[in-house]
Amino acid sequence: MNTLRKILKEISIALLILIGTTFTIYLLLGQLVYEHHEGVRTTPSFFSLTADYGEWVTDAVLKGDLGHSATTNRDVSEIIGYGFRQTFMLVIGSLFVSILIAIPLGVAAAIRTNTWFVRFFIPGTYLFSALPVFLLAIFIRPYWVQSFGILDWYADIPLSRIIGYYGIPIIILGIADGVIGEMIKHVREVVGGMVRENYIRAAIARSARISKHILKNALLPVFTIITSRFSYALGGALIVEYIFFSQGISIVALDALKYRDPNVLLAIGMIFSLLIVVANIVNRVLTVIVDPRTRV
Amino acid sequence: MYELLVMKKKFTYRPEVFRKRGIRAFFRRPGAVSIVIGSVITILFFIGALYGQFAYRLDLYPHSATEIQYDRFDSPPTSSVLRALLDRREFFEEEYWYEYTEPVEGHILGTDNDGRDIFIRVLNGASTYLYAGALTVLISLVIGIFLGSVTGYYKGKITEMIANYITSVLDAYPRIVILIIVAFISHFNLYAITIALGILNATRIARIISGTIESLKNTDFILAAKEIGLSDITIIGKHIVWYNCRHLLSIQIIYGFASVILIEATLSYIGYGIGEPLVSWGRMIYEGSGGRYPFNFVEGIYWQAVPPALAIIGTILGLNLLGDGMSKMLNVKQTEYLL
Repeated sequence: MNTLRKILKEISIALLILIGTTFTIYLLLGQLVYEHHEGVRTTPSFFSLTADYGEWVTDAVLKGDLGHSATTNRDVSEIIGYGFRQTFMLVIGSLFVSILIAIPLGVAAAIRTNTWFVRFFIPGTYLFSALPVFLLAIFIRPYWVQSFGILDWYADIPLSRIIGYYGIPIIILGIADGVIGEMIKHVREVVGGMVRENYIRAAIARSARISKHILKNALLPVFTIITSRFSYALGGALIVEYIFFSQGISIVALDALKYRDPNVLLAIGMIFSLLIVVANIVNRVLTVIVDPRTRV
Repeated sequence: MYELLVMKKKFTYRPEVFRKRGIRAFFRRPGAVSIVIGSVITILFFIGALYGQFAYRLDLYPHSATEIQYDRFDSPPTSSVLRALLDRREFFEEEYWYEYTEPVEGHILGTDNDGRDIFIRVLNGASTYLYAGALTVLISLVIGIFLGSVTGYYKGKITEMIANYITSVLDAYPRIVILIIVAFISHFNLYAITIALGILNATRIARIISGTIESLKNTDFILAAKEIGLSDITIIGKHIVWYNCRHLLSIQIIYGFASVILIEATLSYIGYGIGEPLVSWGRMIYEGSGGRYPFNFVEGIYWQAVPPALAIIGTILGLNLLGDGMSKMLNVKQTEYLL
């Protein structure tokens, strides 16, 4: 019963946060459309926008209807479906890539403190954390086009080509934009502090395996960073998609903005903030699973 | 594994290192190297911004005066109204095309497609980011300190719930979508974008301050301050934020600067950055790389996009190094590493 109440509380807080974000996005997007009153062109007032927002929310919740795109004359969910799948794949893949790179490097940097590897590699991660996604992407894009770029979808495509086609953008997104540098730094701090504690030193002295303890504690900062960086990762995914692929949610969003089509943008913003809120809840659950001390 | 047992003394906390003064003692502290490198790069950034402004105003372009033909956006601000009118008349009467030139003597980094010197434009971009970064940091500090102190200090009251709600809503925004929309509806105004970014950046500061307040709330000196009868504003502002959060806030200020450059360059790259009279490194990269599909690189025209790209990487690298070094040097109680 107690757990159920906690879950209900979490969900209601998440819904309130979603209402807050979508309402502000709705107010901002209200500046894109015009109303005509007695021949005078104005932007809609706050109260009419609030009423419209109420209608939109009831439609979205009760019917699952995200609205109608005015310029393309199609349903919004139909338009953003394809691009959204691609973006989701990019984000999840890049998070896996950055975990796979950051945890071993961070642990290595904490354990082998004074080797040449650590001395040269850790400044290298600083360099990568200074690279914006789009910068890395545009300098790699020509080579990517030459080797994997144009896929003939009707012929038999070798698997290596598909892997390169999606893999290189995923790796770029995982490496750049400061995520990996921050992760390595935090993993190194946590593991470095932990390795000096007595129980780990006793375990080493007994020649027991300490990898389980270390990995368990190294995961916690990674979860926190991933959730705090999730909105950045979504933004980076949009940029990577804009540079590498000809279809995608970023192109849909920019077109919608250019042709003043607020429903599409509203749906995109809603789905993104829903993802961020869900990521926060997942982070809390995973933290409790890994570290039972944090259970409230 | 054996080396874990034999911990070198070098990597543990040694208070005597912090008591010594002088250059050698400074370099033995954790984070000293990154502080030096980072501050050198940051100072170069500031000097570059100032030099760009002065060169712009004093007409110290690194090429001869006969070559200069100002267009509307590039006319020197020192010119009088008459001069501006003459320039404008020239612009309409003479028909001339601007072309890019490769790096030559006079244009050490070449010119862009409109015939403007890339070196001076990179320096002017630095001054743009200087103003934008200062504004963003100021806004995020004010909002973040307010929200954080309310959430930390008035726990369990209705104001705390409202502030907590605002912080979590600000955290849940898809940042890039919001910034693109703000840029579009404000007609690519620099101040609108930086204000939006400052509000979005405020959550980190709010979380730091609320965390510090929660850990300090029941300590003796805060309880004593309450008993003496100090006001809440004095306790929060002086004894918590100023004495116990300032090292964390100084790092956040530096990261705020870096985030402005990162986000503005990204926005400019997709065409939603600041407007044309102001110089933006992202727009320079966009134009220098040949637009939506970077064909210029295939043709071997790297020298238009590489200088602003290097400027972005160098500035962010320097700021990150400075922030990291400061966090290591100020946070003395933890085990730290030399670099």
